[in-house]
Amino acid sequence: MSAQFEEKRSSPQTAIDITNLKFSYPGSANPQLCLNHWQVESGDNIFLYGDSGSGKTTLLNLLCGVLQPEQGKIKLLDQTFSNLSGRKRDQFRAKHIGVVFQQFNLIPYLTVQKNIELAAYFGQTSPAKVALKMKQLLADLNLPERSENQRANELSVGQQQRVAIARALINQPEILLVDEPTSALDYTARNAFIKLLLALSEQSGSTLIFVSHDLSLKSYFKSCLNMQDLNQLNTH
Amino acid sequence: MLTSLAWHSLKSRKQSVILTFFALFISLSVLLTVEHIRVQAKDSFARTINGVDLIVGAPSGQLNLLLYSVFRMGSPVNEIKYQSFIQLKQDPQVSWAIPIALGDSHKGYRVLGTNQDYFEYYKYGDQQNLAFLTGQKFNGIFETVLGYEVAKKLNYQIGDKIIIAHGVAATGFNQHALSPFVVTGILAPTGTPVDKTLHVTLAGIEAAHLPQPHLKKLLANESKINPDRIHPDSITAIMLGLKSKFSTFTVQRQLNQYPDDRLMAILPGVAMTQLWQLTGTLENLLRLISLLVLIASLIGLSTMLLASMQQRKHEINVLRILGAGPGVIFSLILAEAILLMLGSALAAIGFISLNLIVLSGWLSTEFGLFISANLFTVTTIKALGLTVIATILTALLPAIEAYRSALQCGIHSNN
Repeated sequence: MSAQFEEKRSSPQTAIDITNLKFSYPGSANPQLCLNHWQVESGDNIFLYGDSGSGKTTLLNLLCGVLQPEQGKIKLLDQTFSNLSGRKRDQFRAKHIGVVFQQFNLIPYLTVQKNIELAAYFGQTSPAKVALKMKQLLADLNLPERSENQRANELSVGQQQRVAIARALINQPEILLVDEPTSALDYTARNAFIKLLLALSEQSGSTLIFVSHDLSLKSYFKSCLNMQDLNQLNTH
Repeated sequence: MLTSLAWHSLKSRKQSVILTFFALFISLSVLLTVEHIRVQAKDSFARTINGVDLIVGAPSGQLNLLLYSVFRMGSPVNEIKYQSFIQLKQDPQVSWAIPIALGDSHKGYRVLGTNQDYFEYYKYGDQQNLAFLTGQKFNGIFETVLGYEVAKKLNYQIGDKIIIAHGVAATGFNQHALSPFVVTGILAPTGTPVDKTLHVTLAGIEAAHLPQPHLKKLLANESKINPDRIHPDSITAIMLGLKSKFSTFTVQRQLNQYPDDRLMAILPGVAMTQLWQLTGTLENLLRLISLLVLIASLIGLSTMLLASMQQRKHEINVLRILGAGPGVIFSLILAEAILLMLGSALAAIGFISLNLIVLSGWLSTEFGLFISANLFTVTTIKALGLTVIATILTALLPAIEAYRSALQCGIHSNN
């Protein structure tokens, strides 16, 4: 669509590389996650499903650096992410990882524009670039232009989720983590949402990890992974 | 960006923020008013008199003498003999002596009987002499020099005739109507009680009090009479300038044991110190109360921020995911508290300044206080600085709470 979206980048071959990962929540005796090896190629899109408690959310939190592994190593974009300091991880997340969650993705009292600018501020994307890109993203996401100046809590849930995609993609992140984004949407809205998400993710060349327990969505994705298979906790 | 975020966050919690704003506004207004008036009142009193070594009056309290002779507050309990003034003036240790006769008034403003030395030796502020805005000193018996405020408020000009009344009530019924005084001069503003005073000659005071037949006779022959020859038998007080400061205590002792009249001499500075000691306790009490009010409103601020924490969990989560460190979340809460406090401080400063501008006339006529409307003095800036520090300290609790919440955040699946 735009030159900026098609911009070639020298992205590393491997987006995610996890070895010997072990994690348990503080205070809990039983480990929550155990992962010998998992590698995701750059540009891939993966549908990750599994029951509650299978460790999907824990994995996402580890990938975005909010949680720290007990053992093992997480490499993101050829950088050893899990060794970085908290501040460095925050910076890395701001620049390279876009996140969309189930709900409450936006600061309710800020306008759509402010919400997106806030992400750009933390990701250190230049304001000149942001203005142009925001317009394109909002247009691509079928959001009316006036919604830019609407407060996030004035939008419908579906619109809010679409703004969340724009917000997550504004810094052109290499990795996009999405957690149950459609659970608040109805069937038609859900399908439209996923198609848009996939298209835009591909345009910006992001690696997409999509977490859901709704197996009917599986067909949209290149590869599909059961969390129970990934988490080797149960095989021991 | 973060300040703007803090601002929008405050705006989104309008109701509780406005209430907290008013609590802070009221407490800061009280605190700043007390601090400002405290310092200004002292300044205003201290600059009223300068260069007078001793004030001599009838024995009473030294504070009493100071208040009625210099600040035109209260009334003298007793008078001293005019003869004592003549003798003091001729005393080799005395450089100059100004007689003061009080007791009459004009439309609520006090009339001060004195002589021409008053304009020469009376000093205020930083050793400033009285200056004339227009006109000149009085010469004849029935002439008067007005303080700046008297002329301005009552709209008098040179040449106007004024009738003075016996006593100090605004509408004295015993008016000296036969003997009007002509305005010969108007003094430049001084910011002291001089502005509110009508100055006349001692002869004028005496003449105005003469029985009607005598007064008529005198009025008929006014031009032939030397004003210096008419004088009252008694006056209210004398301001003394000494040739040497070192003799101050000696002269004071001599005057207190004066054989021919019952006199008391006081040092204005010492009497002023006594005044501060007297007001000091009250002052400290007021400061303490205003401080407690401020603390109460700061606790309110902290409560407001803590109560919003539940609501903020999602926001904090979003900010963390966008890459804001826990430190950013922490400073965001502090920024909100400081923004709110600064807003209230600005409003309070504006409010107090406005009030001082409106009320300055009333304060000066009723209390003899000349308070500047400029609030940016060292004291108020210090008070504001301390308030900012106190705000940061009280906001620490919610900020730490937010910091903790920031550490625990992440993606939370509800399924």
